[in-house]
Amino acid sequence: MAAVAGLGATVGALGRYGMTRLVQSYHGNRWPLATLLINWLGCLLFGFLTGWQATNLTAVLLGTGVLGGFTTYSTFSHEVIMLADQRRYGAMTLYLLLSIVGGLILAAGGGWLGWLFR
Amino acid sequence: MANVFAIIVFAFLGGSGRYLVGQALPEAAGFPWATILINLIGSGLLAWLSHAKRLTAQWPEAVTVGLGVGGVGAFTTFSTFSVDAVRLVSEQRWLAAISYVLITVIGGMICSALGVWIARRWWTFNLEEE
Repeated sequence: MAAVAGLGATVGALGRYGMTRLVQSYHGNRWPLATLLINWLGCLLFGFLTGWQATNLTAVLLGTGVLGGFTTYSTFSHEVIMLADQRRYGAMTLYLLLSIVGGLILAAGGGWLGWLFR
Repeated sequence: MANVFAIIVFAFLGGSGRYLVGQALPEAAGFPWATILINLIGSGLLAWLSHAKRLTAQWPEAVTVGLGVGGVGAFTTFSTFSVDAVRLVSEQRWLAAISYVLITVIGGMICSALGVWIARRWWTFNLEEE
């Protein structure tokens, strides 16, 4: 099962790499929009999987693997700290709150949607 | 292309590693310690790696991209964190939910800041980076 999670994570990480480059090509990288969108999308889909009550194999492959590897906490923390380092405290607070509160709302909403489609 | 290959290799390790840590550290009292540990350690490592230029200059850029985006990026997870927090709320375990979110957010920022500081202190070139 660890290999299943690992395989899923390669797909997720490549998706994150591609999406980061795509978003940054339009938006630039002054504000970490790419990571925010990635984490939001991942929270919505992971919530859906949980509410839908996916089987164990699907949950490990798509949840732990693909979505776990797609979303990232380390990049999020680092971007928060770099905004603080640049003394852009307003941008830092906005990014932090949007990520955390938005992620929680989307995970809950995804769970509800998954429960509906079960 | 080298970046993509490096991301695939390290993301496999990061994703399986996260699964194994989750198995080794089951939830104690329903509290997701494994995800906390993973996200805090990963936050410190990624921040350190991003600034340890004196070290990362010694190997191809693809290795740094693979380790950061693939390895540590896939090791840590934002979606599991959010879903677990929502689950604690849905079980009406308010104190556990609030402490889980606060420990992850504040702890992640502290680990990240420490990683940056350590890298800038010992692993950067003398002329300040960036």
